[in-house]
Amino acid sequence: MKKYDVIVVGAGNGGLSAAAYFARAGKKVLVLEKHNLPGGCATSFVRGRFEFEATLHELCQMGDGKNEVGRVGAVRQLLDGYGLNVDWVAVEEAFRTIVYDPEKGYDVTMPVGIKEFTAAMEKEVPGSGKFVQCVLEYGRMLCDGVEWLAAHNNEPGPLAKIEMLLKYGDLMKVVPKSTNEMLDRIGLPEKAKYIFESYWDYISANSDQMSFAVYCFMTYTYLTQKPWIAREKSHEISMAFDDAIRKMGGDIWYNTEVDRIDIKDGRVKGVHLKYGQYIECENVMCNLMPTVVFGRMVDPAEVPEREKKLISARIIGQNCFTLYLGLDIPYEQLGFKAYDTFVRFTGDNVKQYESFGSLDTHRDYCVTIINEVIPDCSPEGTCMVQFAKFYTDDAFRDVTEEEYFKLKDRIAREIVEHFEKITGIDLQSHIEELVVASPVTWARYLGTPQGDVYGYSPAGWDGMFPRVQSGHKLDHTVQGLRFCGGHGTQMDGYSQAYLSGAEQARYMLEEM
Amino acid sequence: MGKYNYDKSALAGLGVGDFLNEVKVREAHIAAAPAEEIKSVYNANILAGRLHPDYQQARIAEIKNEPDAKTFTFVQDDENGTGALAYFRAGQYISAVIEMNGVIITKPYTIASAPKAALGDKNTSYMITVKKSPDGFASEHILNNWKEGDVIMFSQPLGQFYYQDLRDAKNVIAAAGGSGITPFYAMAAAIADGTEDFNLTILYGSRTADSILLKNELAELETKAAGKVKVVHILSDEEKDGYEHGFITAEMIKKYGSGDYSVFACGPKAMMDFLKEETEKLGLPGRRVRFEVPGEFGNPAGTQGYPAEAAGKEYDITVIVRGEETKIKCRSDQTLLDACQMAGIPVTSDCRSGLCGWCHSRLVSGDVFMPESADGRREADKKFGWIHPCAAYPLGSVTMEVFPNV
Ligand SMILES: Cc1cc2nc3c(=O)[nH]c(=O)nc-3n(C[C@H](O)[C@H](O)[C@H](O)COP(=O)(O)OP(=O)(O)OC[C@H]3O[C@@H](n4cnc5c(N)ncnc54)[C@H](O)[C@@H]3O)c2cc1C
Ligand code: FES
Repeated sequence: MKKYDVIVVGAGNGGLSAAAYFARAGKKVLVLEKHNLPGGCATSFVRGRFEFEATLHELCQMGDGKNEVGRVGAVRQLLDGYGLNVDWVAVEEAFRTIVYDPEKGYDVTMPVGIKEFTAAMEKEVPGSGKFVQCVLEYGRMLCDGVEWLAAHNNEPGPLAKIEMLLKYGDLMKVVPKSTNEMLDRIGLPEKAKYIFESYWDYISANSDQMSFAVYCFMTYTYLTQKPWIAREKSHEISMAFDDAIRKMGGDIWYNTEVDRIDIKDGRVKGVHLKYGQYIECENVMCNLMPTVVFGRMVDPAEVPEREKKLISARIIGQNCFTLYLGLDIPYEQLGFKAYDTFVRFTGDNVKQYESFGSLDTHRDYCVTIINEVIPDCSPEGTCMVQFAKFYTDDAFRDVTEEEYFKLKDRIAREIVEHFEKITGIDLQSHIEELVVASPVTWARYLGTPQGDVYGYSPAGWDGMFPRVQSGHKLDHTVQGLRFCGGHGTQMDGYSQAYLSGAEQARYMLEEM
Repeated sequence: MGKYNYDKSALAGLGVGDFLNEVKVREAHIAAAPAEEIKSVYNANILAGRLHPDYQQARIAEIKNEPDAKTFTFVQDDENGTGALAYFRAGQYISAVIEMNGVIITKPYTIASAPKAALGDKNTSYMITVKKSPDGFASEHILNNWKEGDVIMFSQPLGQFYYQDLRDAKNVIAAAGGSGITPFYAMAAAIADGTEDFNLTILYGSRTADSILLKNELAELETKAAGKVKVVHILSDEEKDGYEHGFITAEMIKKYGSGDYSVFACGPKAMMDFLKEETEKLGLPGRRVRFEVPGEFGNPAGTQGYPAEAAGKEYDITVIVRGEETKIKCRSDQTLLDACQMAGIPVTSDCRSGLCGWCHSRLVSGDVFMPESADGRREADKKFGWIHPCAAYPLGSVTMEVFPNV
């Protein structure tokens, strides 16, 4: 058998990025993926006349240089550098947010662009404009700061640290502060704050827990570089990775589950495949969560003490319930217009976070309609509506086999009826295809604990900045073994997983 | 520095100390945490494993003879690692792994029994009915060889041919032919025991009264379901009192369906093709008509777009599995999946209809024909040259990479 310099376990976003990085660096890389397709979360599936997007709402840091700040996003640069052949499409809107509270409710659609976003907020919350402007100026500074840090490989040396203090002292001041605290300090009116914070449950920490710097950076990036998607769904991105990795000399084996990772005396020796084969290799990049790898894939005697402690200290991110509808009505006639909408009972995401923890209390969801951005993404006369609700705790902890199918149907019905109630739109007369993915489905496909899709919660002490600073050395406990993905240093998300794969591959290359 | 135009007063009292300390704080959190055993398996993971096992070992507990068919009852086989069979939705199928003359193939069979029979930690069972099909050597093999006590390996329950109350009408007219009765038998059983709640009228086409499968059992379910299940037998080759005569036509469906209803159809390919035309006459919206996956497409010669000169040939196929190349042959009327499996290369497959994507493989070079109605690929697959070999026929020499899971 061919000798490989490095094995990547899992062809999710993080694993694919790492593999492309290794292949481009001239290493012989083999990717092992248990599923029959690349992408993990980044995939699509066909039902009847429809091809549904499994997860992607939007990619971050994908600016093409034509935006108002002229920036080519860091993720765009990375993916272009791999030579990915993807037809990228920009989303021309930030989000719509509906709070259905009869007294304090609102329904606003927020555009991209600093000026446009500020003006829309001023219109919705008179007097808020100048504060929004101020917040977004922080965003601009943070964006420069993050870029500066990336240029220093996120590890500024002693001299650079002094430069950082001079140039980005303010960044250092706001990183440890929560989003809520800083927005209050800036004076953003409550309602504007709530609207600004709408994106929160794409990152599994509420605004009391989430670093202002990270949240503000992310929102600023979306507003200036726009959110992006792929014309042929995220499967196009994953297949483009497959193609690029092979063209650079890498190999990918699907339907090849890794059963165990062989570690001896703190050093990786190889991997055991589920169907029996053993592949020797001294470098293994895992796209799986450390919880899974150290919890069930290595010799317990080889699990470092630090990993046990770290894993027990961390909070598992969010699991999710998704409902995909293929409707036999054209989007223009649906009566609902928006690409990505958050529907919530209150604007206060600390309260949302609490209620999203259990099946009984979580009533909210987000709605994504790709037809808004790509009109012909479904056959003529049809549209696709995707609902997702993210649970902040192990919501399916008590569900039995017997209840399971009925529960899926019940939650799907609750979502549909609720949406119909608040919008007055009739969905039920148009459902041609209906697919549900519950936390159990995600657990089956990804193998993550609880069906988690967001890695670990980046709340407080385990936020992005401290993770990034620990990702090179402190969190590296077994020689030849590294981790990348949505559970990595950059937090969850497509772009973050791609960056994480590149970052960890770069560190691993130093050691090879 | 004045480079940024924000109000600095929001930073009053803040220093950079906390930032410089973040890693230390994180380390302290880690140090303070207990070094306990790592929990990676939660209820959702356990459920996922039970509902979607990699495979299931089941033992034949009982065989019942039917006209030109047999009904097999399977129970879990603890000794081979299956403590309980997986729960499922009425209408789903399992793929049987069949070893014949040294080759391994998989064939889908609908679970005819009620899901409830598969519920629980022990005493679970599935029933499948296998009918002799004219060119089906797998059914031939099963009917001749499977005996009580044999252990057969199956996939997890698969397929989307089941009732969904948000999507389907409360009244369902089932059009069944031959062994296509099985999903409706399971649905009727699920209605009778309260697992499902909808009204099912089964129009069941058979050749003669004597060739009706599961006839008495269906009658029992009809009684048990107290008005929610109705079975109408339609005989094509015989006129008899108490039976409808002819084929299942649009007229017949209209006779039994009223108001808002859904049509579900399952049966032999010829019947499904006929029903596609008949149901179109009903003028129902597409969402009200659902067909079970049709199974293998069959000889593509004569299909629109098929190059006539390709017919009747045999081609060289190079198959790459995990870096190793094997040379095999494939006839032009044979699917690439079939050729691989016949040559002992166990490409993963389930629906064998081109629709589920399980057999997703990379076409490295060469041309293949994929009938449009059996092309369930994702759009990006077309862009990057991936195929579903279960519905792809060679048009010349082909090199492809496949991904067996063993
Ligand atoms: C509904 C939903 C919507 C989302 N929307 C967005 C969005 O709009 N924007 C955004 O940025 N992010 C979004 N996300 C989050 C994003 O999808 C994830 O954060 C990201 O894809 C994580 O990538 P990953 O690298 O961690 O890999 P994963 O997707 O977790 O993939 C891991 C891979 O490893 C494989 N694997 C597991 N075990 C083994 C084994 N033993 N052997 C071999 N292979 C194995 C799996 O099959 C899988 O392919 C969304 C997620 C969900 C669920
Ligand atoms: S086995 Fe289903 S598409 Fe080939």
